[in-house]
Amino acid sequence: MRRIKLWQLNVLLALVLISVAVLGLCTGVKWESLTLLWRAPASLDGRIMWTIRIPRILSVVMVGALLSVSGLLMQSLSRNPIADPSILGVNAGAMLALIIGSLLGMSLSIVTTIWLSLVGAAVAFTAVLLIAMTRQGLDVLRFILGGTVFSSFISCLAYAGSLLTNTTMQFRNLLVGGFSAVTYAHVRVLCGGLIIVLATILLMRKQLSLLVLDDTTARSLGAKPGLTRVVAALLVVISAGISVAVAGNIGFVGLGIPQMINYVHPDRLERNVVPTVLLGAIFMMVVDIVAKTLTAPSELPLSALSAICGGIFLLLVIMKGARVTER
Amino acid sequence: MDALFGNQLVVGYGNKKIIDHQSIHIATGQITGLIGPNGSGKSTLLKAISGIKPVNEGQVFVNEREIGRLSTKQRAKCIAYLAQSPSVPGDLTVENLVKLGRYAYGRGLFGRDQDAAVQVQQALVAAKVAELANRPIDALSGGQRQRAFIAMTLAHNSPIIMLDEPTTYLDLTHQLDVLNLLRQLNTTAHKTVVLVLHDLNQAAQYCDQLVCLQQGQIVATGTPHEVLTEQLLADVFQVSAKVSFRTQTQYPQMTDYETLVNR
Repeated sequence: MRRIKLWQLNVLLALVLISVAVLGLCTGVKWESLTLLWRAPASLDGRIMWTIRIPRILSVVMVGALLSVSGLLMQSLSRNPIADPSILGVNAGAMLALIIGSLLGMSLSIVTTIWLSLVGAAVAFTAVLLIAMTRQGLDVLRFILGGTVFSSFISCLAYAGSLLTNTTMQFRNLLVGGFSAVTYAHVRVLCGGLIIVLATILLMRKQLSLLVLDDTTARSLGAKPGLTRVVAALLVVISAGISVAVAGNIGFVGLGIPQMINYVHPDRLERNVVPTVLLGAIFMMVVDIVAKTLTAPSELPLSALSAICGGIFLLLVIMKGARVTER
Repeated sequence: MDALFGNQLVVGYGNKKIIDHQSIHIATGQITGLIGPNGSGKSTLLKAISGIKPVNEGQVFVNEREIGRLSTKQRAKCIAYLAQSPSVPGDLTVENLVKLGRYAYGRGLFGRDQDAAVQVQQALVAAKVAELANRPIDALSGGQRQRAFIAMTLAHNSPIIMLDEPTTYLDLTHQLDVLNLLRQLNTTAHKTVVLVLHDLNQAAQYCDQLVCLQQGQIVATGTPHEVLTEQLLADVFQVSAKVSFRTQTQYPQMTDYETLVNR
């Protein structure tokens, strides 16, 4: 079989992304024409387009990009195809931090939201790394199993905290994920985060590509794998933390998207970042369109939709026989 | 002339010294084999002189420059090291694996490397894996896999190649295949090769120099003819063997071996 070329894949994905983004702009509680944006920006419907739908699709695209790139980094970092910040407790950590912060009476402005979720994500990630550390270094099996159990545990704490204090409605967006409340302020934060993450990847792409090798081999090639791992871990925390702060706990995007790209175009990280980011944005866009239109005017929980897709995908990966542990 | 010189090396893990004040010379353009019983410190010594593992005391010199003072990239351009069983994702293709071997040559902010395409192709051809370039690592036989990794080390374009037990886990045909490839690289590309070997007859056949270790001490160095004596086999390996030296083959071979350890 002749493999698709990278530029062909990128152009294809970019075209699809533009199409679904336009579709996302038109759909919602009611179908709006795209021309409204410049024909009647001051009308009620025009203002809905400018103040609600535009920031929403921008956020959807960027959250999809951040989540998929964090999955790609996590898989390289742990040298494991089924690693993902959502199943390893990073997302849940950010979520728990937000709920605790809020219950302690902190007002969740955008700035505090971002800080809380970044701290939560970092603490949870550190805890999972400590669980997985042995004298020989990072144990991949402990990382995956320990991370999954830890993730469930802190998710439970988050749900319990929310249930006991009767705040499930207040935290609905956070717990089930969703983009219904995003504003331009969120867009700015996401944009900043995405630029930091992608620029760092661009500058360190050679080093990051070497993460899939064991440390001895990476060192023999002249790399400093320890330092690279720390940077990759920070990027994961930033990506996952900001995503949770804006759109709540959405799982499985980071798991499936990098795998799909690697399936159609197996290559090093440095070359697969762009298509992974594009497909992540497309996936999130499609899921969001389904979430807001299927049972309009109410919205379906985004995390459930994403998890259904992710669950099916995980089963396919396992059936295909991907190995969980490093070889 | 020495390609590499390790001076009074102390190497260990934590407080435990594996190698204790040992010096080693590696001759340029030769194949040097490190031999010795299990746990004698062969792999540790190889890691230390390749700069992968920092030494506790002593210095390693390459071209009269101390290896500890080189940047990791500079070191990788001097010495390629191949671990015993490197771990890579199974879906990585051979060509992409070899491209990773060019890491040290990435220059500037974006890691530009103009010679990459040519050098990668040469490495693939030299290690005889050019026709496997697009295959994933998982789809290779043990011998092909080892050749792919050797291609990755060749992409370093370094004068010295060090390999830790490159023939382990391979059947006899593939063992000879890998050793013949290394000898060919030694004669045609003038690579200085240092390798850890378990099979003493193969070590005698393929190496120009042998370094024998026992409990972290270098107990014998020299040509296979000088090192592989019946006395050394008895002292170091606890094996009684007949060492024969045939004039037409130029290297000693041991036969009729029997353990000297009482069980």
